[in-house]
Amino acid sequence: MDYGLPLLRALIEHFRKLPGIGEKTAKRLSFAILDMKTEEVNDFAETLLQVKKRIGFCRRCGNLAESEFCQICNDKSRTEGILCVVERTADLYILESTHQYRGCYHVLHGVLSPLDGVGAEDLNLVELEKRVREENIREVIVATNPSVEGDTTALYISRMLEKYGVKVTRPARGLPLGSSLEFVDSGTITRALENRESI
Amino acid sequence: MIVRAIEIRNFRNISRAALSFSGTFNLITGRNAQGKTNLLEAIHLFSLGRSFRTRRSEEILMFGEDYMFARLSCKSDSSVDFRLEMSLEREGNIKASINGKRISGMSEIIGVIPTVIFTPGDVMLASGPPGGRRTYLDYTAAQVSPAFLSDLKSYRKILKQRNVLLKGYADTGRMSGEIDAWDEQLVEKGAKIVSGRKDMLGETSLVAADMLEEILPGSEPLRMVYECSFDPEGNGTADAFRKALHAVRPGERRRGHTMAGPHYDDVAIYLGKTGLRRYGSQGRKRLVAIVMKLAQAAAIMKRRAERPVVLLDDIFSELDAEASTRVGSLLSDKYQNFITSPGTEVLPRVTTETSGAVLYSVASGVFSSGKELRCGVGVET
Repeated sequence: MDYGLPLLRALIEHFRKLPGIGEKTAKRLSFAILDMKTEEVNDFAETLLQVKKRIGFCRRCGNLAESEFCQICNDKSRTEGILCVVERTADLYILESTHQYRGCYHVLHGVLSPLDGVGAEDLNLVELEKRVREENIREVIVATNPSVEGDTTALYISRMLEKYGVKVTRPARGLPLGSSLEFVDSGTITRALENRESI
Repeated sequence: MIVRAIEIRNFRNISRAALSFSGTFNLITGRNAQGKTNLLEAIHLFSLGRSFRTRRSEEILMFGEDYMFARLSCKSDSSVDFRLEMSLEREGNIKASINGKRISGMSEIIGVIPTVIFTPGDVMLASGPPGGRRTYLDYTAAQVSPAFLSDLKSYRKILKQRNVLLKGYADTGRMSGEIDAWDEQLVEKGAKIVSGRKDMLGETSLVAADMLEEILPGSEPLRMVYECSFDPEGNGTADAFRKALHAVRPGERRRGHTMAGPHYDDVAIYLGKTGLRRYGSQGRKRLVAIVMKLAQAAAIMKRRAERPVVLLDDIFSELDAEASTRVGSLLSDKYQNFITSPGTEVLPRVTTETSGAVLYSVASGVFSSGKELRCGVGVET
């Protein structure tokens, strides 16, 4: 059903390819575009093109960057010597939003998952090893997700870096802050008890 | 836990049913292929999140219908009423909700209604292939410990991932460096699976031994021992697993799958000093299988402090009158029981004479109205 408007259908299909967008939302967005002023649409389209054209990956850490290095790598106030390894750039922005971590990052662009055809050579690991070798890194925090694949990737990294004598850590797992025990699932509680700390 | 009522639409041959149940014995009679087991399957659907008979969910949809719906009204031992719903549309996945709230993953539903089921195939539990005994322990442990369930799911995932790597090696002759990391993950979760299973077996084996002693006084004592495929001595499980993986490495790389781990373990069953599997009579094997299942109910009860729902599919028609009476003496009105049978005459008296027992008969997927059987009153068949 394209209402005799194949262009509109094409637009809807493009929106539908985006994550979290179903048929209805895709239609709503498409009609919103039709309602927009021409200049606005021009701006929008131009931004889409420019984003793709100008934003690439930082040569050093794999973060998104408009130039050779990303903003974080260019920031002199960042603590050198500490690296936080994340699965994807989106995770980096989540960690950044805390404004607490002042070290540098390294983005893997995935996790080990043979089922999806992802092996060590598909991840940004060669660069990570090079950084540890050359940048005088003291600690590598592996903040991959606490899934089977994320855990295995963390283990792989810790083994890969063993010979450099660098400290490899993993963020603690346990009870979420501001929550009460009754709302926490029992798997998390079990893990939190395993990782208990003395006070 | 008590299942108070069920409503069913288009589940296998049951096009529509609304039944309310007794908290003690629910007897479902009918000739073969009329829908007795289908009712147990529908109840059990809420325990596992999928059918115990098939992994293909479309099979439970009534032939030619577009949707299936089932609702279970329950009362927990702490007297809280709640309802569970499951629905399935043609070419869709099963959707479940608890008290009207959709749940995202089926693992959320496992353990909500603690369940023990005995199907005719389970007579092989004590004497058949080891897989049945592993499932027995896994399913018991998963119902009492969400941590075990999560470890079990992780273990299976790691196993799949690792097998893909090994398969790749078998096909190409190149081994990726990350195999060591997968090995370590497998070892860590595998060790937890073994310890969880041993813990569960410790709980069930004593109860099962007592039960067998009760129904066969003077018989050689029943012993069940966890046989860890990679750790016969039973100490330092993770280390033993690591060593075993190392030892099978060449074979694994040739064949392309994981050749050591708790997925090869077994439970050895003895009567006295004799192995049941090899030397036990058919009758003994059957009785041991039954006490293992009933011990499962006791173990769940103890660990969960919640009474399990016991589903017994046609177990009495396989037993002679004497054995049937003995097994009947183990059944308890402490639990809610669902018992299918071709007729009431093969059922032990306890099931028909306990007050509040309810009898349904089913023909072509249609249930007769539930009849309450009173103590001492003769039972029609």
